[in-house]
Amino acid sequence: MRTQTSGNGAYWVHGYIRLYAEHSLTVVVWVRYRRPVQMRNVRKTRESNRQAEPSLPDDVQQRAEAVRSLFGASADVVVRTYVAPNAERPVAATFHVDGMVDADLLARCVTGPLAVAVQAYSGADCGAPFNMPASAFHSPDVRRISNVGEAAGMAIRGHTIVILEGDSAMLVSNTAAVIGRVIEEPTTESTVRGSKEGFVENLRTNTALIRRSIADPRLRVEEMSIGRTAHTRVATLHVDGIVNSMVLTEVRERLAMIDVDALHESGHLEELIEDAPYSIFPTMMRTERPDRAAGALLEGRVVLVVDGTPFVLIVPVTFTMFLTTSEDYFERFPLGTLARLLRVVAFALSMLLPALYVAVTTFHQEALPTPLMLSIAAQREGIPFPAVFEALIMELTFEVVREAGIRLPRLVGPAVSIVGVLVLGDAAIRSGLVSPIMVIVVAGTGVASFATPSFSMAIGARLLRFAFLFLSAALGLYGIAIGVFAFLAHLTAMESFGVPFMAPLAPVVPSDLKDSVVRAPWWAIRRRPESVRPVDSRRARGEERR
Amino acid sequence: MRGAGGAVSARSIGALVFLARLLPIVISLPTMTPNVPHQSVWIAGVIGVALAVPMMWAMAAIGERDPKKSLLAQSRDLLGAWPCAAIGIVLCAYWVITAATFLKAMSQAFLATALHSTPSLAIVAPLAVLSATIARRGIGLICALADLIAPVVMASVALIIGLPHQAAKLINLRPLLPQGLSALTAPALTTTSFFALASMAWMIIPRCAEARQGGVRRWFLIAVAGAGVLAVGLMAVVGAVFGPLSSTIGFPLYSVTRFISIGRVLERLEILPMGFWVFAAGTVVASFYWAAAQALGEVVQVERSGMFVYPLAAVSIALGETMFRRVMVLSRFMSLEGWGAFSLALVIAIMAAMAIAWWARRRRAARALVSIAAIAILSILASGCWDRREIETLGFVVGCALDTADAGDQPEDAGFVQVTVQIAKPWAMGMGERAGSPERAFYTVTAVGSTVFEAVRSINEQSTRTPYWPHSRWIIIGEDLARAGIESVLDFFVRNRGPRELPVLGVLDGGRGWDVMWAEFELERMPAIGGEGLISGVLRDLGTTVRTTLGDFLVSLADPGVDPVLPRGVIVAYSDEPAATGDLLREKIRTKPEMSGAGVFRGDRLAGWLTGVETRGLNWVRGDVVSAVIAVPAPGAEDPGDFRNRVSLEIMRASSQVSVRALNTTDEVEARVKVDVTAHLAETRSFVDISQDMQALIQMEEALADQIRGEILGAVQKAQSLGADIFGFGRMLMASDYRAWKRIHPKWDSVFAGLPVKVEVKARIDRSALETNRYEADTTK
Repeated sequence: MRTQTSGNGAYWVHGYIRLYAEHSLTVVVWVRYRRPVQMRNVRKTRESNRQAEPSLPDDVQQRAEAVRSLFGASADVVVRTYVAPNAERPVAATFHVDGMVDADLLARCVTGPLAVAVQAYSGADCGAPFNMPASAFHSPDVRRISNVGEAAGMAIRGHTIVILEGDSAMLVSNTAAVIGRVIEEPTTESTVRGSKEGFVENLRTNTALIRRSIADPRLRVEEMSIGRTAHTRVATLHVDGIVNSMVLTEVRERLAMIDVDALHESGHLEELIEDAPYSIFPTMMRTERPDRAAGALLEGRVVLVVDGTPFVLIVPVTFTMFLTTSEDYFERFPLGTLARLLRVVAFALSMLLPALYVAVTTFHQEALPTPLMLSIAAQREGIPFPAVFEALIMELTFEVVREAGIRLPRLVGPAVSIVGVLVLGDAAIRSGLVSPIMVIVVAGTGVASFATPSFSMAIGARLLRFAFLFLSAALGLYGIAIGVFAFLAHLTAMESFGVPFMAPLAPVVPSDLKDSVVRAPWWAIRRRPESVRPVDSRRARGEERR
Repeated sequence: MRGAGGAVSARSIGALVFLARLLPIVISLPTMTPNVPHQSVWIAGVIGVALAVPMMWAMAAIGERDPKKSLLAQSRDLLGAWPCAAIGIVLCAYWVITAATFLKAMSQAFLATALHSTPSLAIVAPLAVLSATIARRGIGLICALADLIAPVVMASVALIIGLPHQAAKLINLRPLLPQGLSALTAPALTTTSFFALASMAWMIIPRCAEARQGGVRRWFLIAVAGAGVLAVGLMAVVGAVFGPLSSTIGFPLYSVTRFISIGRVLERLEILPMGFWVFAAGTVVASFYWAAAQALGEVVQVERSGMFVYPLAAVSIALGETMFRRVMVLSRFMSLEGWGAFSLALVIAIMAAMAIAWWARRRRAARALVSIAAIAILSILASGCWDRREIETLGFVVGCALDTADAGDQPEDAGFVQVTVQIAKPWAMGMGERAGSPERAFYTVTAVGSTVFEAVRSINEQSTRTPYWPHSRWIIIGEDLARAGIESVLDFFVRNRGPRELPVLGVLDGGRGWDVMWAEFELERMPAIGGEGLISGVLRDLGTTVRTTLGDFLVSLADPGVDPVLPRGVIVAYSDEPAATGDLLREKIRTKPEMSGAGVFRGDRLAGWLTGVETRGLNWVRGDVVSAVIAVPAPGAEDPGDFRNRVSLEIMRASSQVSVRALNTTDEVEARVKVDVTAHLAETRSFVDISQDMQALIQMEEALADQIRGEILGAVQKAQSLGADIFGFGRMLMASDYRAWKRIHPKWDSVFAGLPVKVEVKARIDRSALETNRYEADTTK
C-alpha cells in the first residue's frame, strides 16, 4: 500500500532533509516517523484520467452508450431513453445505478418532470433540439457536469445523469437513497447516561449527526475521495476559529499524500497517516459516539469521517484521552475522577499483573506478607511447571478462549466461555496442572484489560503483557522496572500530529491537568486543552462564575 | 509545531536537577557520616543545602549569561579554542564517570538486595542502552520524562520518609555538636558538592526559551529546595532509626524502608525505592549522556553530536565495570571474574556496531533494525534467569534458635555455633480448602558450624529446601550463648539481605534455644508466629516484657550510653500425663514456652534477669507501657496485706519524661524520672463507694503512684546491681550535656552504680469503667 516512487531520488532526499529538520524529534524511540505516502502518483493518475476523457458525441443515444460503456455489461445500471412523440431518435436519456437511487425520488424529481417535458416537446420538426433547464427539475441538487468520468463517479453514489439533446454537458441530479442501518446505540462505547446515538456507515448521516451537536456555521466539512479504485469518501471536520491551522494543514497534507487502491475502514486510513506506524499503541483515536466527536472538535481537534464505517477518527490525541469515556463528563466530577484513576490502575494491571506475580514468586519471595507467601507456596506445591511457564500457558489459553468467543454467533459464544473458562480452568486446577492463584491472576488481568475503554489501547497492553512476562522471568522486578521505563519513554517520545502524546503529563501542561487523569468540575474547565494549541483557547469567561 | 522535541521548559530542567541531586543521597549518605556523631548529621545536611543555594544561583546565572549559547560556546568566545576544548573534555569525562557511578550503584543495590547472582553487567547494560537511546532522541524527550518521573520519585521518597518507622528514636536527633560547627564542615560540603551534578544543565540552557527571563534560576532554586528537604529528611530518618549504626548501612533509603511496618501488610515496601531507582537513574543517566555528547560535539565542532551517545554509553559501562569493582563489601558475594571481561567486550562490540551502523546508514528503518537487534542480543544476554527460584523449592524459615554447640559430645566443637531453624511446611499449613490438616506445619532442623553461615549452609544436608530467611519472625538465643556474648553471631543476620532487622530476639532462661523450637503453642500452628504473638500480647496487656528487634538490639549495642535488654523466655514442662483433654493430633505437646521478664545485657553478654515486675519498672521509664493491671489495696481496708480487699486499676495511658543532669562542679549526676499515668478502675474485690467518697479515689491514686514508684526503683536497683545501664541514662546525659558526658564517660560504670534516681509519679484515675459505683450486696440477707 505504501508505495514510493522510484527514480524520484531528488525529491526523496529533499523530503528526507526537510523532514529531518522539522520532525527529527517527533517520533518513537526506535521507530521513526516517516511520511507514509508520496503524493506524486495521485496527481499523475488524476491528470491521465482527465486526458483520456472522450469527447462527447452529439447523439443522445451515443452519449448514453458512452456513459454506459464505462460500466461494461454491469447488470445494475439502467439507461432510459426518452423519445418525443414525433421524433425517431431519443431526445433525452437518464442514467442511474439501480439500488443506489431512491426510486420514489427519481420518479418525482427527475424522470417525472423529464417525461412530461419530453411528451410536451414539439420542436423536433423545426430542428430545435430538446432542452430543459436545470431549474425545471424538482430535485434539490442539480449540477451541470461535462466530464463523463466525474458524472459516472457521481452516478455510482446514487446520482442520476440526465443527457439532453440540446445540452452538451450533462445534468446530474442527486437522487441517492440512504442505504444502511438506522441510527443505533453504539456497541463499543455504551454509556449508562448520555446520548444513545451512534455513528452509522453512511458518511452523510455521520456528518449530519456531528452538525446537529455543533450548530455553528464555523463547523467546516471538507470532503475528498481517496483510493484509485474505490474512491472512498473521507470528510475532514473542524471548527474554524478554534482549530490550530498547523494541525489542520498537517492533516490535509497527510491525506493528500495517500495513494492506495481503496480505504476499507478508518483503521486503514489511520495506519496510513499516523505518526508512529510501528508502535503498538495508536496515536489516533476512534469513536462511535457523535458527542465524543463533537467534544473533540470543540477542543480544537480534527475529526475524520470515512464512508462505510461507524468509526470516526479524532486527531491529535493524547494518552490520557484513551483512558476516558464520555460518561466521565456526564456523571458528577468526583466519580469521573475516581473512574479515571481506577482505569489507570486497571490499565497498568492488565500489562503487569502476571509479570508481577512471576517476579514476586520467583525472585522476591520476601516481598509478600508471610501468611500470603506460605499460602501461595502451598498452592504451588506439586505444580509441574515453573511459574513463568504456568503464567504463559494460562495467558495463552485465555487469549484463545477470548478469540474463540468473539467470532462465534451470539448463541454459541457463552458456551465457549463456559467450556473454556469454567470447565477447563476448574479441571486444570483439580488435576494439579495449574495453581488456583494463577487462575486468579489471569482472571484479574483479563478483567483489568476489559476496564480500558479504548479497545485499541487495550490490545497494545495485551501484547506488552507477554514482553513484561519475559522481562520479569529474566530479571525479576528489575526487568519490570526497565520495561516500564522503556514503555514510558516510548509513549513520551510519541507525538500525534505535533502534540506530545503524553501531554499534559510529560511535558507538563499545567492548565490541561484539570482534564487528564482527573476530571475537574465543568465550571472549572474554562480553557480548551493548551496542548492542542487552539486559536481561541477560552471556553468560557472566567468572570461568569465568580 | 513544538512537540516533545522542541524547546524545553525551565521546569523540566529543574526536574532533571532534582532527580540528579536526589539519586546520590540514597547511596552517599554513609560516606559522610563516619567522623560526625549521628545526632548531628542532619544539621550538616541543612548547612550543606543552605550552602548550595548561592552555588546553584551562580551556576544558573553563568548559564543564563548568554542564554543562546551553552557554557562551552561561551567559553570559546571568552577563552579561546583550547581552554574551551579542555573544559569540554573535563566536563564530558565528569558526566560520563558520574553516569557510570549511578549505573553501578544501582546495579550494586540490586545485587545486594534482590538479584544475588545476576552478573552486574546484565543489570547495567540494559538500562545504559535504554538511556543512551533516549539521549539519542534528544533533550526534549529527556526533559519530558523528567517532568513525568520527578513527581513520582518525590512522592515515593516523601512517603518513605513520612511513614512511621519502627525503632525510630527522636533522641538520636538531639544535636551534640562536640567541636561546634567546625566538625560539620566536611559533611556539609559533601552535601553541597552533589549539587555540582546540575552542571549538565549548562548544555540544556540554550534549548530553553525561558532562560532569557531567568526562569532557570528560579527552577534551580526550587529543585534545591525540593531535593534538600528530602535529603535532610532522609538523613534525619536514618539517624533516628539507625543511631550509631547509620554509618554502616550501604543503601540508606532501602534499609530505612525495611523498618516501615503498617499492620503487617504494608511492611515490605523496599521494592518502592528499587522501582524509582531505575526510573530516576535511567532519566538522569540519559541526561548525562546527552550532555557529555553535546560537550564532545562542541569540542570537536561537530553539529550532530548525537552520534557520540552510544560510544560514551559504552565507555561509562566499561568504567563502571572496571573502576567500581570493589565499591561494596557485598560485591564479595558475586564471583564474576571472567564474566565481566567477556560480557564487557560483547557489549562494547554491540555498541560499536550500533554507532557504526548509525554513522553508515542514513535510513531510519535500518537503524531501527540495528537497535532492535542490539536489544534482542542484550535480552538474550540478560535472560539467564540467574536468580529465579521457584517458590516451592524454598524452605521458609519462620524462626531460629542460636546456641553454643554442645561441647559435651565433641570437645573439638568448642566455640562452634548451633543453629536450629524451623522451616514452614506450606502444604501442611492447611490454607483454603485444605484447612484443618492434622499434620505438623513445620520442620525443625539443626546444624553446627564454626560460623553461623557455615551452620546455615550445612542445614542443606538435612533439608531438601534451601533455607529462605526473609520471613523469619524471631530469633531465640540460649542462655549459654547469651552469657558467652552474641555480637559475633548476629553479623550474619544483618550483613545478608535475607533476614530483616525486624525479627524479634529473645533469650531463654535456663535452657537452650533449641528447646523452644521443640515446644509448641496450642493456639498457633507455627511456633515462631506464636512466639512473636506472645511477646506482643504480654507487652500490650501486661507490660512485663520488652520487645527488641534485631535492629533495636544492634543499635543499643553500638550506643555507648545504653545497654540492651531482651525478652526472657522460659520453657515450662507439662506434667508427664498432660491434663489437656482434647485429642492432640499433632505430636504430643510436652512443653510450652512462656514469655515474661527480660534478660539484661552488659555489652553483648547476658548479665542477669529482670522479673516481670522489674521489667515493667523499666518500661515505665522508657514510656513503653501500653496497658497494665495493677492491684492496690482498697481505700480504707483494715489490712492492706489482705488480698481480698484489693482493687484492680487498668492503666490506660502512661508517659514518661527523663532528664539526666550533671552537677556543674563535681561529676555528680542526677536522674529525674517523671511518669504520668492515667488509669481506670477495672475491678473491686470489696465495696468502694467512689461516687460519694472523693477521698477514696485520691487514696487509690496515691497507692497506684506508690506502686509504680516501687516498680521503677526496683528496676533501677537491679540494673545498678548488674551494672547495666538499660534505661539509657548515659544516652540522655550525652544528649543533654555532651561535655559532661565526655568527662564522665570513662567512669560511667561507677557513676551509674551510685546514680541517684528521683522518681515522681502522677497517677490519675479518671473513670470507673461501665459502673459508676459497685453493686452492694444486701448484708441483711
